[in-house]
Amino acid sequence: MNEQSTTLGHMLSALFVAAAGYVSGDYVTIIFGAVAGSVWPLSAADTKTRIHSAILLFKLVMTACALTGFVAYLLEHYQAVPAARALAPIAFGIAVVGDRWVRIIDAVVKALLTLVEAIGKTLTDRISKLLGGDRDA
Amino acid sequence: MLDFINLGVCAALFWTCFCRVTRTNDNTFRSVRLALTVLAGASLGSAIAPWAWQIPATPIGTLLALGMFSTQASMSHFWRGGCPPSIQRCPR
Repeated sequence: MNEQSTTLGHMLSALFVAAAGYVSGDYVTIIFGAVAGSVWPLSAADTKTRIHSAILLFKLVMTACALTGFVAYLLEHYQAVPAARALAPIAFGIAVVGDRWVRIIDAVVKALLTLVEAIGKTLTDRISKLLGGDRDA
Repeated sequence: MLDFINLGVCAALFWTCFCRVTRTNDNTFRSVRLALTVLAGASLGSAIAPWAWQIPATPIGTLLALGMFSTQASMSHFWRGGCPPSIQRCPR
């Protein structure tokens, strides 16, 4: 029985090392790009202590880690850019944008709302024309 | 062995850059902020290169990093009271 558990343990270890090794290379690249890029927004931020800076750096690196895979997938899928090579530059770019993401997302949401409003207005005009609403004009 | 010495020196160099960017702000000259960003990125890359990309450390590269670290460390007293006014666009 002991032998079996040892074998199982070895197998699990081997599987873990294989899986972690496969993923960790990518993550090292992403974290390198993210940390290097996040120094730029950090240098502009009005941080008082090193702890505040470290927290901001952590936030930026985590944001870059979360978004890089998705952006790399989109680039590979639509632009045929190999994801493995694009990871560091993408993480760097995401981190350089830094804490301005909120403003960018706000702008995108505003643009989408304006677009939806314009489409809605066009549809309303067309429907009213179809229903004979243009007789009043 | 040299890889580990290089790792230590580059980590110390990155730390000096990190301490400086903590004190800089939006009012600091952009060129200074860019220089610190590039130096931090280069030191980090040089530190992890032997393990991440199998690029071994060289004696000259390590010596260069040590020289940059000494420069940063010797100039650190200018930064004790915060970002030096001479590199601020308009002193606050």
